[in-house]
Amino acid sequence: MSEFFSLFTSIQTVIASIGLILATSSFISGLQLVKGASFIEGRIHRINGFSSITLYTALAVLAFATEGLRIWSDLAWITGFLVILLKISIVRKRRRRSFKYVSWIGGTLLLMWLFLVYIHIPV
Amino acid sequence: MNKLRCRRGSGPVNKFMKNRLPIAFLIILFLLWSSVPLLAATINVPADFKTVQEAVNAASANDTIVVGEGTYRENIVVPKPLVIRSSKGPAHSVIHAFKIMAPVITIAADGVTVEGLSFTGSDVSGITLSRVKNSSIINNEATGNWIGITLRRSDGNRISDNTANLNKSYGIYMEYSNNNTVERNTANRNDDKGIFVSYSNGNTIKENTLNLNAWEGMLLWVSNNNTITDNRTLRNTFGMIISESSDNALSGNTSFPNIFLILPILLIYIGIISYLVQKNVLRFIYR
Repeated sequence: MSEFFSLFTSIQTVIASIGLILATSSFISGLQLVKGASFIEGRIHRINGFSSITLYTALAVLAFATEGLRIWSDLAWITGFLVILLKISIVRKRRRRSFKYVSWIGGTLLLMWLFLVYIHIPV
Repeated sequence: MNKLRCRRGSGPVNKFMKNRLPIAFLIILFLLWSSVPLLAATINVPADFKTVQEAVNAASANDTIVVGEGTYRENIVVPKPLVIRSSKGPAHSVIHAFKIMAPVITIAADGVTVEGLSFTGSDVSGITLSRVKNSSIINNEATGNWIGITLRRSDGNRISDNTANLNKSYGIYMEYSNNNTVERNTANRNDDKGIFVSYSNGNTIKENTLNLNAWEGMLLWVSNNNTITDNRTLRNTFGMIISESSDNALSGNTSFPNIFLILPILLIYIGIISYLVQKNVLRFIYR
């Protein structure tokens, strides 16, 4: 048990863990929104979504601060940002053809957070 | 009467003892004094010699060289059995390669101990053991080299508690080296492999930490009868690869600990609960 709690001595692990929790809440509420749920679901989706984007930015900044510029790492962070921006733009524009894939992009974001947790578990 | 005289110490034997005893005592003292260099001496760097190589050249077999704080720019060759150790640990005594195309330290004699030093800056190797037996490499740091620690045709050595991180190819490389013990070393974030065992048999490789290497945590290539236990090879591209090898005993090695699975599942559960809580709270607020 102490080994489990020792995981959270790293600030990056804590941020990534909170990010995954928020991303999960946002994803579930997003799926409810696609089905046409209420205004409450929209609130949950937005609050959790934007909070997780903030945490993503914090993690990216911490990565630059601790590891400096590394080409593959930087490309991965930028790609993550592009996926987030794509998702926001699809939701905002509400074009019929792209909107039907929005839940897949939401799923991609959830997988992205799973990967972020995986790479931030201290070894 | 004669008997009485003898007892008083005036006989010929007693006379001899009386005259020669102090001389014999002095001879014994001289012999003891002259034999001191035959016993292990301790040489301090930089107090006695400015460089470690000068100290090695001046030392006799089985002497101890204590390296004080500081950075020393040199490439050391050890041709006799010595103990070379730092006074305050690897963070304080750093040997930086003077010639980058040579190992920082080359062990070329049996029975050498290198302990508590830091070796860096070589485009060959931090520590090289070449055709060496029964040497010990303990608690050193070999970082920022092409290879951290290299064993070439060396048998029966002990490599333990070393750190071989951030090297350009391998953390620890063994080639044609048999019956060595490699234990409790850390070889993380190397640009190729953590430990590479090539054409080496009968080695014991245990309790090493080999994480975040660009390719394999550990690669065994044409190596047989090795015992590989309780090593951690986390988040490498490949945890452990054994190829063209046979009769190796593996147990207790970890490439994907349970926590890597448990933590994300737990967090997703918390996420679902968090969604339900938020939904009910907002429903309560906006009713």
